[in-house]
Amino acid sequence: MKILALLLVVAAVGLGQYDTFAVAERRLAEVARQNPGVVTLESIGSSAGGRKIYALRIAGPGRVTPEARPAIFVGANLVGYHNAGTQAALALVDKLVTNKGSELLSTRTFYVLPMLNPDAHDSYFAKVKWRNSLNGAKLDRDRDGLVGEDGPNDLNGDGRITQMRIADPNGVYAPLQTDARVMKAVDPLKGERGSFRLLTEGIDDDRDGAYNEDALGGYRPDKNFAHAWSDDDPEAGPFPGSEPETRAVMDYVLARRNIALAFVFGPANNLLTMPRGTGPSLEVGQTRVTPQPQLAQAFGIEARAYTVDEIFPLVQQSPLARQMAGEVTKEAVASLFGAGPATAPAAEDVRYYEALAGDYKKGLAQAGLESKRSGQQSAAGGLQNWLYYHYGGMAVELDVWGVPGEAMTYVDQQKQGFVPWTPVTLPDGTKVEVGGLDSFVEIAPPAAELAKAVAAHADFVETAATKLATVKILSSAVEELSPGVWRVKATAGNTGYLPTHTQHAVRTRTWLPVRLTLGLAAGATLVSGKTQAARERLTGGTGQLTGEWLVKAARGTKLGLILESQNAGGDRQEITLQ
Amino acid sequence: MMRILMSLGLAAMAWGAEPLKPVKAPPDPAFNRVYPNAEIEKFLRGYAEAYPDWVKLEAIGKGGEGDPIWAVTITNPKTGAHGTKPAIYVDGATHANEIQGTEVCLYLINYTLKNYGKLARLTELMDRATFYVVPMVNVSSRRKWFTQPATPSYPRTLIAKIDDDRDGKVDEDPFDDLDGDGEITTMRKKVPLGQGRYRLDPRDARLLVPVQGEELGDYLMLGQEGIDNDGDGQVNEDPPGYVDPNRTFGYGFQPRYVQAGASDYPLQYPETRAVAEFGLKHPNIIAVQSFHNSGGYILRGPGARSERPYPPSDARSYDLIGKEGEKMLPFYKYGVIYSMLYTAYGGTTDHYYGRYGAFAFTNELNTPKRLFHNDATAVETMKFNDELTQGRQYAEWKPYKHPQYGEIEIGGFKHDTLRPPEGFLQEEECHRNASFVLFHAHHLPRLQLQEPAVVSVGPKLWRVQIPVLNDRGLPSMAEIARILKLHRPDIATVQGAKVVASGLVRDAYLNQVEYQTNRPERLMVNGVPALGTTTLFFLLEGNGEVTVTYESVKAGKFSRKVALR
Repeated sequence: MKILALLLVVAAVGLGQYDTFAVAERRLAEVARQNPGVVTLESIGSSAGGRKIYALRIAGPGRVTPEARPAIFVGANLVGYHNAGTQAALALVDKLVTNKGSELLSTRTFYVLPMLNPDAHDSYFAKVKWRNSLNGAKLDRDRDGLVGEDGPNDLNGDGRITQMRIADPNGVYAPLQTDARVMKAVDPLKGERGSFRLLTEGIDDDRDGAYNEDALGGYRPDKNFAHAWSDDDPEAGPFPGSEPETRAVMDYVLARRNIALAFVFGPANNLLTMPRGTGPSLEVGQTRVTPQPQLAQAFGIEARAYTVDEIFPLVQQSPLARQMAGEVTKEAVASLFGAGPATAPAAEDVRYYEALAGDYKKGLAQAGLESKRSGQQSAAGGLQNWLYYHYGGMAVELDVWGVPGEAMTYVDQQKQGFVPWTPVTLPDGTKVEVGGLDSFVEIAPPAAELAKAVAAHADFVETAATKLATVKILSSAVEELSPGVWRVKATAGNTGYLPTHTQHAVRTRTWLPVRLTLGLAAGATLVSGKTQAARERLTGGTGQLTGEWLVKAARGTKLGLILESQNAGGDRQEITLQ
Repeated sequence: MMRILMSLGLAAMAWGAEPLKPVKAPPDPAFNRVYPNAEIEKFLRGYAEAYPDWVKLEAIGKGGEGDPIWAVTITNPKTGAHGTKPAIYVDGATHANEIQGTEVCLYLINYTLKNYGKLARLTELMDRATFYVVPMVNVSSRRKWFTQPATPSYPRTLIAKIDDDRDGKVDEDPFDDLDGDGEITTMRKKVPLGQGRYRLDPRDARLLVPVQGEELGDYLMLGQEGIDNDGDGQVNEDPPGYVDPNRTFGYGFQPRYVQAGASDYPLQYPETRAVAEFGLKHPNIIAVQSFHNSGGYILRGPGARSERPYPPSDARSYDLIGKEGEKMLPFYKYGVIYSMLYTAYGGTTDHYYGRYGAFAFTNELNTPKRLFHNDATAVETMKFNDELTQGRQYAEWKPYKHPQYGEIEIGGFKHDTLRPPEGFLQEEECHRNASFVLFHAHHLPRLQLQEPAVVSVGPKLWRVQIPVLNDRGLPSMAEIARILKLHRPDIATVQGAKVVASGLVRDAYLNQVEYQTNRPERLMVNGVPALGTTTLFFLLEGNGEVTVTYESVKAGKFSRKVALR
């Protein structure tokens, strides 16, 4: 009876609800219990506040072990207040397990980490709600020697932190002429004058002249990753990767190079607005390098400034190029001569983002969700940027839901989500008005919208999983050149839609190349050369990798062709010399 | 008259100090040799047991193969706990092959403990400062340098499984000690004239010189001793490792495609993570020396031109110490890493400066200039081997039949040469570099609250101006710490009177004050500059004796009684 009751409770958790950390924790345990052999639940670390960071591996029975299958990664709510992300991740889990016998689940693995910032997860449910991203560490963020002494305060007792405006002729905000509820920063070039200061709701608890500048709580895991990490923001952590939440997710994905596509459910949307990057948007060929004199001499080129496009053919023509290990790509040459880090996605990768965006928007429209709105850029120092720039993967951040159109129009339609400005007198006598948009209204949809949004995202992720790169041996040929001497030639390709590697990964070299190896049987030797051919990146449909070998062996000898990749599967073929 | 009451009675303590009395015989290492890890560990335990009040030994982490990473804290217990005093952090063997950095650390520990109370300058320093010493950072690889066939440059790496040649197999093509002499030396091959790029050096047939002009070569240089273990047409291309510990730190970190040897993310590996976390736990560290070899450099950051330049006031402190170091360390040059050495992202010194506001140097120990006090050529290096070591350093060329190259010769400098000095030169190197550490530590900020100027400005209302003097070469807070908000500023408070207003005096003569508008009772001060003074301003309501307290994260806490009359 008890079990039945629990099942009913679990079943009753609808798509349109938000789960507290504790409830979600129970949901995960339950889905793992109900789906043995398909769902593996593990805790991959503890938050700064001592809560577990969960990861689910979902994979059906199949020919290849789950850790070797091309995989999808989904990480949600690292920012802490993006609870819709957690719900979308959980909806995906439920959807996958209801089709656990599917073809997809027998050939793919899903890694789902639904609550990446456990300490901040429940801020949506707090007695006083505010957009909190802080983990449970201790931080003196305003560097005054006192820790967490000046957080926001719910002055009007409405159970949420909104905004606070103070009439002040020195202020730089003024009510919008067309809608006096909305505060807008004035533009002096238009002759506008400010009449208010605009602050977060709260008092200056420590009387240092700044309001709410040191809330109780630690660092922001969503700012703690190494790409475009901010070195002068105490909340970004003492160093990139300092926080346990950050480290746990990085260690998790680094140990799983079978990940082919990563989704981050967070406040940004890379498919509604293409990622712009975190710095100059130079393609690798346009970046400038100045070779060190010794290196220039070794390659026999002049030691001066070049673009990579200029120096690349010179390097290719140099005798030294033959001694360079691996494929001589523009990206490899850029690294060799110190071109520095990439700060914008490669144009070739953006083409694939755009292709995914087409499917994505169609899915949103079909679900009755706004598909023409814009999305935020992914956070500097955040997970999506790290996954793309450092880990080297195809990574897409999706916000799950966003306000369709103008925020004020939306709250008027909803008849909620805006707190009218109400006068409050602070303890020190300052007269203020508290009000403004509810801080969750733009990020946490109401039940009906949430249900549609999480279902649409679960569908999209599932569809995307069918588009991963898949490598296959396409053809092989054997030719006897002379008695006992054979030419073996084989070509492999990518029969999937997405490329095996991002173009940026050709630069990071964080995945192994696709490798085609001739397996020599006893008594067979190569006349010369090596057994392995490799290619950094195979695009879907057109990318090819060819190996050619001269083999000395008796007629009838059987050889193996072994095609390997880390995240696009592999293939094997036996060939007979005849 | 006002009574001076400094929380640390430095001067009195120094002159009354007695040499330390060990409770058991302290270790007495030799400094004309390098010691394997186990012996270093025994020495460290020995100091902790001999001077239990002064020396704390703790493991701050474990190396990649489980070896403890030892940290030694040296402080005078009578002048306060270690964390209450300005501190210098010193480490060695971040690069495991850069072996004698450990011996410099050991020398520093030995020299300071045994000379306290005997040498006035050293005693004054030890009474007011804390020394943190981590002699073996890359501890597991350092052990291997002694126990496995090694080269002067290998192992340098952290313990890491990296598929260097990206063929799907990890560490499958290491160096090989082909001739079984316990050394990885080099290989060369005589070939028909015109097939090589080298020829024998006419001055010394053990050396090869590149062909020049119209010459034809008859020798190939084949690199380090080894074979093509995996049959891929490359030799020694995937040995165990390679993650370079000094490319893994968090400040200015770049991934591996930008910075060869970097980790997947900053401080991913336990050795350097332990060093970084030690810095987080010891915010009183304001000076750092990290010992490497070789080349004879005193280096400071930034490690790359693209990094944030060091602000001028901090650069002045660096210059003061670095330039004096050039005198103390003959043949060493002081300079910036990227311009003097090469670009290196993610090093110890950049991290300690850019993350903790500590003035950090990397010292590249030893230089060939020390051999004959000139710019040593290869021929002269060989002469040094013959004349001053009777050939100890060099394994003479011997024929060997190589599975891929056929008839070759194996020989060259042994692993404990070139980078570490010969024993008779090592003690001098240890002493000079430990002295440079002491010079750096001598310039740890030393604050004194000086004679206040007290002026009555109304009934029970007093204007008090107190100069805080720093008579040493490091500020009490680095400018970079202010710019990057690395830690709280220094804080000045008054006990016994109401603080009506406070601020910093910009011009005492023209009575110009920069007020702190809010929370005047908690005056925030961005440090006292190096070799300079910051004058505190208070408008106080009260009468009689009050106490002014100045509390610095890095420089300690000081108080002074002030009479309002």
